[in-house]
Amino acid sequence: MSDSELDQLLEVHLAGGQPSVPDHLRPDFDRAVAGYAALQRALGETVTTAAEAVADRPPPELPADYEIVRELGRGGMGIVYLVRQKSLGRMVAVKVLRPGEATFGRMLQRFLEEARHLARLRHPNIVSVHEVGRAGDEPYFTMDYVEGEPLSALLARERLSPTQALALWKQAAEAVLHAHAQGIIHRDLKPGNVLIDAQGRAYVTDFGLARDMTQSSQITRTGEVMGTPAYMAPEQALGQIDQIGEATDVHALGAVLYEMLTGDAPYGKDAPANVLIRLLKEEPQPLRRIDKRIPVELETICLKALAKVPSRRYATVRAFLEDVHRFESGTPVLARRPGIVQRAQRVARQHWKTATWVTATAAVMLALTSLAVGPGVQDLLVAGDERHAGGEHSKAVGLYRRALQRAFNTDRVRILERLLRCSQEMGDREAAVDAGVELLQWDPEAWLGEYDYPVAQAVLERKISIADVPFRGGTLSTAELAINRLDAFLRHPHGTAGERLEAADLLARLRQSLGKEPQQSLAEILPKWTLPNQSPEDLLTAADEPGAPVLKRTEAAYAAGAIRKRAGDRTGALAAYRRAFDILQAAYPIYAGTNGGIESFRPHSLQWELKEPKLLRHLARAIHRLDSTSPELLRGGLRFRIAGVDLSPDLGIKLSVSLWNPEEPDPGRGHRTIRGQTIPEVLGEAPVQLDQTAWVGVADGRYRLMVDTGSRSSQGSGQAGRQYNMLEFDFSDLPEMVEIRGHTVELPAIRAKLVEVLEGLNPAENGSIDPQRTVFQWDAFPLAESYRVTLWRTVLTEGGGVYFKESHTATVSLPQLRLADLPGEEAHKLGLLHRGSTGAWSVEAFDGEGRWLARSRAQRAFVVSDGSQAR
Amino acid sequence: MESVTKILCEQAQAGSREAYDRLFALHTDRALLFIRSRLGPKLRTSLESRDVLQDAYLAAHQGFGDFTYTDDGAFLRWLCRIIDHRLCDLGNHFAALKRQPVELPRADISGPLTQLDRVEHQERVARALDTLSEDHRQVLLLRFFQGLSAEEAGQLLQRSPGAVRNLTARALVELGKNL
Repeated sequence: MSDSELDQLLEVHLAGGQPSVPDHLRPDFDRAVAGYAALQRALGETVTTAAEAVADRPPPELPADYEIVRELGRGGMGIVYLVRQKSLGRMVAVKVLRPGEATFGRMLQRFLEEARHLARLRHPNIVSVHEVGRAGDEPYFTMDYVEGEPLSALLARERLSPTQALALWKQAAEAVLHAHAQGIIHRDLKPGNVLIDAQGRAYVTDFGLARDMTQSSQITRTGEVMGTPAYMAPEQALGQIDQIGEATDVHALGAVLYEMLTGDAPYGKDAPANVLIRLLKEEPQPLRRIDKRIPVELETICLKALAKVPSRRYATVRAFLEDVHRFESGTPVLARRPGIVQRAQRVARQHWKTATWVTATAAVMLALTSLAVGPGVQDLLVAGDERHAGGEHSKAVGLYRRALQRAFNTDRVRILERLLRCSQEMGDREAAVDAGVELLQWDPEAWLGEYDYPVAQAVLERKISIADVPFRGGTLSTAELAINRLDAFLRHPHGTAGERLEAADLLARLRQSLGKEPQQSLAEILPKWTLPNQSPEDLLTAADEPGAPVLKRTEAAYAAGAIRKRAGDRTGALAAYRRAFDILQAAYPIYAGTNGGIESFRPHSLQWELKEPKLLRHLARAIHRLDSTSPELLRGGLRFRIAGVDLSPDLGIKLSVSLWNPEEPDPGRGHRTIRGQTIPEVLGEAPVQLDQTAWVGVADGRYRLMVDTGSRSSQGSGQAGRQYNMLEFDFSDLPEMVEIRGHTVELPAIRAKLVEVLEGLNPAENGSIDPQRTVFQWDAFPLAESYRVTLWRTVLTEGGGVYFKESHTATVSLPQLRLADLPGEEAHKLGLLHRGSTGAWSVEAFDGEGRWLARSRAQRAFVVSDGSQAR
Repeated sequence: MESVTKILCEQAQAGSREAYDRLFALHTDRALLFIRSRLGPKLRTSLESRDVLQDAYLAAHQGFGDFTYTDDGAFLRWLCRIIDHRLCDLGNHFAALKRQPVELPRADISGPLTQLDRVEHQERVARALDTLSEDHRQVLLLRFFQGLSAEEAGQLLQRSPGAVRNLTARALVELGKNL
């Protein structure tokens, strides 16, 4: 039986013999030997690990010219000896690959890599390599001997003045700059790797982890997360290999500077786990809070270098150094205080769902700082795009306009497209039309969406024609331009039924005037969702059909008006339009100031408006065109004001406004319950602006008012209400009835209060808990009937990253949770019952129907400080 | 060249707590590898492994007086056996583990490179061990981690020594395949 044969062969092999293995057993035998070797290697002794225990380890046999004086220290992968080079009568340092380590494969490659790196770097602040060689089996290289001490030792002994600190730091930075210029990233800069000699000269050493940017070397792939926690950059801690670059060294230089100035590393130097948590979660303490003598600008510079996101740091060591020089010479530094921008950024990182616009704003503000240097068209566009994405359309428009002033013709189209889109979202019809008209002159084929129709009107009004079509030649008359627009408009489902009828009318007239094509039929003009081809009378009957959807009824009446108007019956048209207006207004008196609800808070989605206010405005215009003596119906509105809380960028509030005519038996909308009352479905959501107010345009009339926050309408999913974050509102001062007569009614303030964020933990980010005793507590959230607590176990990996691992959710009805009350198995699985384990927790609140209400503002990290016994 | 383990063992048995901690720290990674494989992929989480290690650290310390250094690897084998006994005592049920909070000595692995190399290798071995069948893993742990002879392992596994050798050979083949 082959197995027993194999096992005998193995026994012989394991006993040190060399069995002759028959061919048919060779593959298995080799595998087994490999398996055995791997086990042995994994279990093997580390002979040379403990330096002190083996102080008498024999030194390497170096060539005769070198005489070992003593051991200087042990670095990443080698031992460094002080050696006298007899022939030259000088002292040199020799680094020998750790004897006892495998002197082959990757290790050797790395060692030689370091030597090669160093050999490439010739800089007064980097030790030079003289020679690379091999002593017996042990590779070594010789280099300058620096008689001095590591910066870490110096710092442990004394505090440096900012001037002293900068004098040393700049030398180290110059060295790193030089390495970068050679394409080498150090990746493990720390005070221990900076040697200071008696003359006060600094030398950067230990390029053992350095990575060569100029080659796609795979050697260091798995070692990327290595480094020293206290000086690591977040991207290193997270193992984001592709992010590691010059900015990683900028961070380390920032950390070194920080320590040189304050005496402590930015995130402390205690247990690596704690350091890493702080590195990833907290901002370093401002330097001046530790020592008031540190100049403000230097603090600013240092904190910029320590930004969590590489792109927010100095892009290069050179930029970093230059700012330091600027500081020294008294010119203003380029770094900016981490003010609202970064705060907002932080918040946005934690709550991207609630604060998408914050992110964009922050990004824009940064982009704007760079504008001071001299923005090009592209910079302006980028900045504008960010403003635009952040909802600051008017600012975006300003930027686009500036860009337009500087742009070459080839850029104009894309700038104008942005202007159009932006104006459109601001509801600034005129600006949008202007942009559209201008855009046409550069690109007559441009697609303007719903603005095709108004632009066509403007083209006709302003008698615009193009004498020389850009890039193509030829001319386009006013009529041709307008026809193209109208055609485009009708080909897409834009506009209201009325607008489409009018556009079709206009198109037909223009075509007639040019002697082209007959009229289109009504069925072709109206989009599919509207109506069959009926007589105005039929349409008006349909408009009064009780129980039919309001929008359909309105459109029916409007279509009747449009047909009558087309037939020249202005009086009949006016009556039908008014009917349409009344139908719509009774159910939907809001004509402006709201948007389509929660959707617009999604990242990257454009804001959109409900169809109703658009239609209401259009009807008002249509009526006014037919009867200029009729009163302007849409001028008034309601202004809401939020008091009691300062709206910071991380707080978004939307007011859900319900208005209805109490005399109208059934406005034909759905119903919902707010605070125990059944009322017609929300009309729209008014975003509260940063001036703490929200304005909603309301058609004249007398209405019942009901306001709530956030969207809990059916379109919102479970995540819907996220924009109001732990805010409690008091609406009791609002009147029940409001009357609007052509003016804006200022409403009493809605009082808001920021619900205190979770309590029960140490206010420090890393709370420490005793699982037996600690109760996670938080303030009750109004209307909340249940809370979902999520507990994570966080794990610190070998490389030092913090990962959110297992999580457990518990649902409780009272605002507290005792860790010890979790089912034993769950708690155990989470592994949170033991001293030293780390975790995080957050809470969400739900109302009685299980709808999502709120969440705690951030996950709170904690460390289990007290050991415990399970069960 | 004298083995570090030996020096440390001697110092520790002469009463140096520091030496004991170092000794233990030197073996932490391999002890974890053992625990990890011993628990098998289903049972463990890295935290549990650490808990077991913590437990074993105390148990080992109490029993250290009985340990005799014979050769390189002896301490690890002894440690693995202690761990194994603790796990058997506890019926693999850590929820019932009565734990005393202990500060473990920090795993002592030489420089970052050594660590890297070692960690990588151990990770590879651990993964390969994970892929083995229960029988195969068990026999490898008994024989190579705990250092039992085929006869001793046979008693535990209720198999003949021949069958154990056989099983060992097959297990090594599988391990070699999966490395």
